[in-house]
Amino acid sequence: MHLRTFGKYLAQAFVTLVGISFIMFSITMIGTEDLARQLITGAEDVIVSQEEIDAVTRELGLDQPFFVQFGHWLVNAAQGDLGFSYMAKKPVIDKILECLPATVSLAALSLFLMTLLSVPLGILAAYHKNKPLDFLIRGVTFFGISVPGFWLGLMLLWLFGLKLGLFPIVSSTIRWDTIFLPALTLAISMTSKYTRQVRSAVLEELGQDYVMGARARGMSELRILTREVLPNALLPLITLYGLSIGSLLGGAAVVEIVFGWQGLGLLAVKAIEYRDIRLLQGIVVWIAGMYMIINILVDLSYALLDPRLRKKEVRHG
Amino acid sequence: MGELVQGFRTHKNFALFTVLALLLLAAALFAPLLTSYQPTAADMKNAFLPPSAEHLFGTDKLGRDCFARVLYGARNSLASVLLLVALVFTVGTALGIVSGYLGGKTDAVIMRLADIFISFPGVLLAIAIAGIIGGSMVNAIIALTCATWPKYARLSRSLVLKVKQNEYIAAAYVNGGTPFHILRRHILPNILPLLVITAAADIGALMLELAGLSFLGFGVQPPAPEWGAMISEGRQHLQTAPWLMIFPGLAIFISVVIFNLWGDALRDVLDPRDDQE
Repeated sequence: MHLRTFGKYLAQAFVTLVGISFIMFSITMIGTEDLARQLITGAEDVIVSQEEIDAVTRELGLDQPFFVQFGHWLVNAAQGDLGFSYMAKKPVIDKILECLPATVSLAALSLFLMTLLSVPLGILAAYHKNKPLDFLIRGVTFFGISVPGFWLGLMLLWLFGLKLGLFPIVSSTIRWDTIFLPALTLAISMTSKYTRQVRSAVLEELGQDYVMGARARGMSELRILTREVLPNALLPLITLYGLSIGSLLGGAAVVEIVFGWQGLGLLAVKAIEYRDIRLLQGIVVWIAGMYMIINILVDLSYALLDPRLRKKEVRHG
Repeated sequence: MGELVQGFRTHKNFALFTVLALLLLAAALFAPLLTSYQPTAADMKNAFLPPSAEHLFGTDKLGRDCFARVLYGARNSLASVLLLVALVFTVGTALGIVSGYLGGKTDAVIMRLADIFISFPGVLLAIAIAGIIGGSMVNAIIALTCATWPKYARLSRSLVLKVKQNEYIAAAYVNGGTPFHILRRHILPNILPLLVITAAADIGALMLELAGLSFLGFGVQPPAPEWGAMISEGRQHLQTAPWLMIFPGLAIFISVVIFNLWGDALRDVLDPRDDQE
């Protein structure tokens, strides 16, 4: 990977992050008129003196023009200071780092489950194209993409948690038995999407001439699959992998709430309910940053995995 | 339109799913004919009744008939998703067409904006927006429009750029065709089918996202019946009254299945290429 290309990626990511921050900042400013009061009172209905409000207003610079405020926030954010969370009574960045392991472990386990299920299923469906097994797999995945994730989670909770008592109902700490149901819930809907994509990626490669050539040379089907088809089908799948991670980071919020899983999504919803604007801004920008890093990694892996791209880069770069 | 009518005859699937989708809409529209209960009428004496002949889906904590709530809830759920699809389609496509047709600075600005919105988990953005501007059906629709428009903008822009290269566009221009005329007569008819297919295929997914927002409390507000919000209410009584959660969830699931199947069938009608690969 060329240094210049990498620099370009980073610059682009930086501009986008600033853009996201700006959008988030504008929305929060439009949506909340009396920010200082809200930051102090949160969701509770307590009486606040005007002095207190004035003090917070001055401290946070809320009396200054919008762009000055945004500038301050941005400069601080660049130094890792995302402000103070009134809900958590600690710096925003500390609270985010506290909830990060839960989100990351949940995302990692559901991605693992998804890969474990979807790759074999997708390959099976592709090899049995338009036969009963293919129809069965496609049918199941069709239902999987049509079911609301949060409802599926509740049903799993009801069945395995309440009726059968196999899993705890509230998953406040990270343990294998608490993480399993939320991860499975996320994995089911993602597996359904991904299986279809694996299937079409593999089918696409199976239709290529080189597969026919390999067959004519008497290569075994297994060898064709592992040596020829999968490496080629991998490329488009990696992009989709990156996208799945993105949807995990954001879409997990609803599932996190169903299971009381103390991750960033649940934190974001709590921050909204509490009107803790700084915390919300911090979470959104943080997740956007993670998402962007993942996308950059995906693009980089593309260049590493696809020799054609590598060559092109040498020529142009 | 002609294609659709013809598709009704040639594609049995399309006809079937269109009828099913229309039945769904009819059930919502004619809810008062299908149940004698009012969706918001509380009857505390009959709270938490399990499903029976009298209350098909049981009753909730206020003794409201769950079947009536699911039926009337279809109005909110279906109306909001159709509105959302229409809005995303209009906003996204319009921006994309302008971007692709004008090019230059306008294009750069719109696409940069789209990049920003898309480089971001959409659901989270929608949660943040809906949460901050306050929970209501309209706000949930606005929030999801913000999160989804770039997809349509990018798609329509790329389609316009492709169509623009054709010589008949140059011919129309040389013949003195105004930009509006060229867009309306030569570009739109060529790009609309694919965009409509995309929008139709998105109805189901958007319905799930809307339900998710309602579930979080950022959509239709109680006591108005809405499926996502009903699941959220039912969740508190998971142990004692699971029917409160099961039936609205099934309603979402079935509607999404129907719309997804309809979207697939519509693609087969409008886009004769065999994309089943």
